[in-house]
Amino acid sequence: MNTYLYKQFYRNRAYITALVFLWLAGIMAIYTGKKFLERNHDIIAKSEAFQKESIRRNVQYHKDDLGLILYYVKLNLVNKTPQLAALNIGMRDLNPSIQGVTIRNLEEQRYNADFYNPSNAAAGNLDFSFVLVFLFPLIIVAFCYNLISEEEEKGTWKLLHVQSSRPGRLIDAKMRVRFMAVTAVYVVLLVIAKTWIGIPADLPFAVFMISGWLYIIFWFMLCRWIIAFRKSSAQNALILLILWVTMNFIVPMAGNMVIQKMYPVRESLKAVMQQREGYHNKWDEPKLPTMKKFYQAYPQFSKFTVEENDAFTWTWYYAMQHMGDMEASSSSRQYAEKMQKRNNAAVFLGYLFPNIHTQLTESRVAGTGMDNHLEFASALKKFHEKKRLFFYPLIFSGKNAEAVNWNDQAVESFEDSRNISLLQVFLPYLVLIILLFSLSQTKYRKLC
Amino acid sequence: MLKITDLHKKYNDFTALRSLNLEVGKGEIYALLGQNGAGKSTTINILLGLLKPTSGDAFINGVSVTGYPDRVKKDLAYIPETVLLYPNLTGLENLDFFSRIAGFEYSREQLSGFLNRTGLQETAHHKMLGGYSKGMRQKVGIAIALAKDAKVLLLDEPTSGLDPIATAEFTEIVRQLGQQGKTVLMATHDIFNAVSVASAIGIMKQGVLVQNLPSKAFTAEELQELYLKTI
Amino acid sequence: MNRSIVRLIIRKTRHDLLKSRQNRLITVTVLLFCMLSTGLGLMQYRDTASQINGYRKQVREQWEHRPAKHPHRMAHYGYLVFRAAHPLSIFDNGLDDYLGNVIFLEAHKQNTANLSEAGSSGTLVRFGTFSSAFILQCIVPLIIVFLGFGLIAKEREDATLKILNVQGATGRQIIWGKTIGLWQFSLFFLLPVFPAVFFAAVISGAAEWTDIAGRLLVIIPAYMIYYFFISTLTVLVSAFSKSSSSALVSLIGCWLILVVFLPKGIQFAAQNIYPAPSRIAFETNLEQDILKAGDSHNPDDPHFKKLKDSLLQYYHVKKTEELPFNYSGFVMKEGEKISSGIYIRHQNELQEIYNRQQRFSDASALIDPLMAIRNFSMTAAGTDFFSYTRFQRQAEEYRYQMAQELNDLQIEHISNIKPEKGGPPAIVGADSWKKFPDFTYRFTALGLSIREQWLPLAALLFWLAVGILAIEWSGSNLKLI
Repeated sequence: MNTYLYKQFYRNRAYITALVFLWLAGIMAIYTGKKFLERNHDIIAKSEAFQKESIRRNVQYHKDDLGLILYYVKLNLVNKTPQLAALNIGMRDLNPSIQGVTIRNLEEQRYNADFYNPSNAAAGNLDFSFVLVFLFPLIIVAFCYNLISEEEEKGTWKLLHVQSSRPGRLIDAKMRVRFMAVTAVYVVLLVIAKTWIGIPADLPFAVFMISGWLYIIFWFMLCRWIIAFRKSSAQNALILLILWVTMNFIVPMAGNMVIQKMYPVRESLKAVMQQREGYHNKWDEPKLPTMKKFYQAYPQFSKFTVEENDAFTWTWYYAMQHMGDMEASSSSRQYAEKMQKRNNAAVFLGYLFPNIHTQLTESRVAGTGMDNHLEFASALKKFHEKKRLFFYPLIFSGKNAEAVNWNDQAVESFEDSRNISLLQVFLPYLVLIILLFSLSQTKYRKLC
Repeated sequence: MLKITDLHKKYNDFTALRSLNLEVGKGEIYALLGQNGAGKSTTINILLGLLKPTSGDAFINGVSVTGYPDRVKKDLAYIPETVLLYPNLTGLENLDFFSRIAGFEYSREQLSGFLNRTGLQETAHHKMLGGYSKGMRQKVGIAIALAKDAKVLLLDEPTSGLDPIATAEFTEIVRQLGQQGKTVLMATHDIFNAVSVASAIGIMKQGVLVQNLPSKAFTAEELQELYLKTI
Repeated sequence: MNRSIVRLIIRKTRHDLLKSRQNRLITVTVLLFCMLSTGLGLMQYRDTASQINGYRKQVREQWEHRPAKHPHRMAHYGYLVFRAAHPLSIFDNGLDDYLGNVIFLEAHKQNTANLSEAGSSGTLVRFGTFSSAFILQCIVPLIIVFLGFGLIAKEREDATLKILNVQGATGRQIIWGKTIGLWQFSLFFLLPVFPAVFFAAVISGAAEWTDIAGRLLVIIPAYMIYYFFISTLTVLVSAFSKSSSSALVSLIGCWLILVVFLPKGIQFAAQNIYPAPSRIAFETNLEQDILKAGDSHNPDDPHFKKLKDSLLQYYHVKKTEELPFNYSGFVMKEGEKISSGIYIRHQNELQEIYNRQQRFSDASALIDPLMAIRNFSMTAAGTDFFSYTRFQRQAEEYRYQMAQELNDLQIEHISNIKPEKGGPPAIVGADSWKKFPDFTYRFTALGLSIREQWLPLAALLFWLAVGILAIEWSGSNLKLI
């Protein structure tokens, strides 16, 4: 009997067209991701050469003044882009994957955005996650919305009901055929993506795959429940479409607005102003109090003293720079905390809405979400400190460019651990799926 | 009033009409019988200007259907097999709307008058069409034809699905239309109805009009026999 | 006679749509959402504006109260300028979330505008912003499609189309009537929004009411044309579909392509046809060029040797310290001019790439009417890329002026001789700071915006013509059975 169900399905030209369309959209998305990754890797590969060149030039022009060299030289930290990021570009088109900082104060430099065309950013990326979250549900709805109502409207429902005591099983069988078709397209796309882009078969990829599949199951369960109300085809289509629009547009947008209102992030602007005051004021203040604060933070440098009426020394200069960071540190920390709170609120919203949950999970495992951005920011801070502590003693003791082995100053990278709690990822899906299944099951038993 | 000359309609590999010749005069009611697919609906659609014949022509009141399809419509009225109209308007509003399209502005009393002439009870005039029975809806369809005061009426399977009372009411209205001098062409399966109201009968088989006779010559049983023999 | 048939059909179509309780409910819900987003947008706008004003005052105060110091120090202390969005961003957020909010202006260095709202938000911001413009551009067309898909297909299925024809209505009249009826119904979603937007924008007090009214008077007809196209599309697909359910599926497919896939695809194409350099590549190239031109911090820099020699000769002195003005300041002024010139050249090249991307996207308005209305709506609301580049330009002009004025102060008032250790510092009195005016940002004039970006407007007129032609053509080809 199942063979007839298959035949009914694939002889329907509209269904096959829909599957082909879905597949094409997926290929386009994978291509988009591949290009993104290529560009990203290209930039990072060239950055090694850029940094070397920049160091060479600055050393050449200012070889006697180490402090001046480090005034100009930018040292780069790379936010390693996992191959999986091709499937979920997330924030990586907005936030730079590589940041260069001098050893001057960090707060002035860290917010330097990468160059991007705001129109491009506003349009968003047509990546695989987008196709999964937006397009797959529409196809699922198109396949399922009239499973029952079509039979009723064609007049075959009464016949089926007479022939079998449990017509619900037939409906489920029809749904299984569609589920397998959609899953097949999903798996084929992922296999193509994996081989074409070269994504390693590791835990993040497995989580990515499974979370997407659970999302597909969720939508089938949702359709199963809605059609159990036995409304007409047009009404089912309307309800499911409204749900799709609400989940994919209204809720995330409204949610974002609420979150922005709940956690306004003006701390960043405050930090910028504070570091500016914190650093520049020191030029007009007596030097010794500044140096005292500096020695408190880094007692190991107390031996590098500064006289009050010294005209200008690099020791004093870099101490002032660090003061800028110290005075802005609490605002800076609050800013990071606010962003973390915003992210947490979004995650919580995701527990209720699987589309948001899927996007957040997939960007987490691809290393392209807010978590990655925040972890990279704190890695940058540590990197900055490491470099400062390395160069301070050399500068303060008046060494020149020869004292540093510049070949050691290569581009460094940060790798996101991308660890996730499997429970936190999968439980929300399972809860919703089981809930919808039981709700629809009670209706299915009564199908007549 | 209605003259069909040598009408041919050929689709790619299928001939729907072959050399159809037919004439229905003023006050005459012509019943066109035939199996499903014999070409009855094709003929009506050509008369309505919805299909173009491969060759041949038809004349409504002397005006060519292929030459002046818009002018022809002024003298033409049509009642489809399933009269659905607009369920969210009342019977009266439906009649008013379609009459205005045709260029006629009637008062409420006049519109009610038309509906009354078809036998639709006064109480139903202001109820939504969605709640009408099939017979009631058909009466609105007839009222639209009446209100247009067209000289030629085309009816497609008018009695299909009607209960006996509605059928009798319908038959009476058609008879009156004939007496008023209207020309009626009726495609139908109802042999009894054909015999009782039509003045002439035609039987179509595979696009050809194989019988064309005045109906006075038959009883219903005889016509049935002839029909089965012909088909 | 002909026109009255069309009028009858228009009236009936509009009535049918308005009579249904479900439709009225949908209209009211959509309008409520628009009002809500306008209200919330106004609140947020005022919040942001008052904060920005506070910061602006703070920056100004700090600038004016700086003690006497060396002007070059002041030039590195620099200035912070903040971007203010046009109040119509309440209606159409446009690119606002992605635009930087603050630029640090200092000597020798041109900085980017940083700290966009999107940079501080997470994944949710990429779902889009809940503005009235979004609802009107993306959601309402879906509703129109949903309510209108059966307008002709269902009548054909019910055979009322046939009867209409027999009664004398031609295909052309039927299509015109239904399209205009649907269009008039769609205006119920559109027109009530604008008084609320006008009111909100005027309350915000950030722009003149004449400016706001002028912009809205241009926006309204644009949206009306867009809805005319959508109505036409709906009715024509309904007319040429075999059944009403296939009409619905086709129309939803059209919506998906126009609203979701084409815009992203177009931006992707623009990005790849005209790729822009990364920050690190840009800065490296810039650094290379500037180093070639010399370092103005170093008065003995060999590149400035020629300048030095000619000055020494002109003033008949042997050493720079003997010149009657501050030589370092002079060198820095020259350096500023040169480095600024180099930066502007690089920046213009980058800008040209973005412009080409933008022009590509503008041209795509001829393929996708949503791109036309989206770009035009942003332009009229002042939240487009062009207005942003004007802000950047104003900021850069201010920065250049500030740097050069401070250089002038140095040239005139700072002695040429380097101060000795322990001696009095080389400084300029604090009242000089007050003399330099605050940064005032002027919104880009609407006329200028439109003149520079006329393509979306032209595209809208193009789509209007396409709609009219399509109706005329299909009128004679309408299948009535």
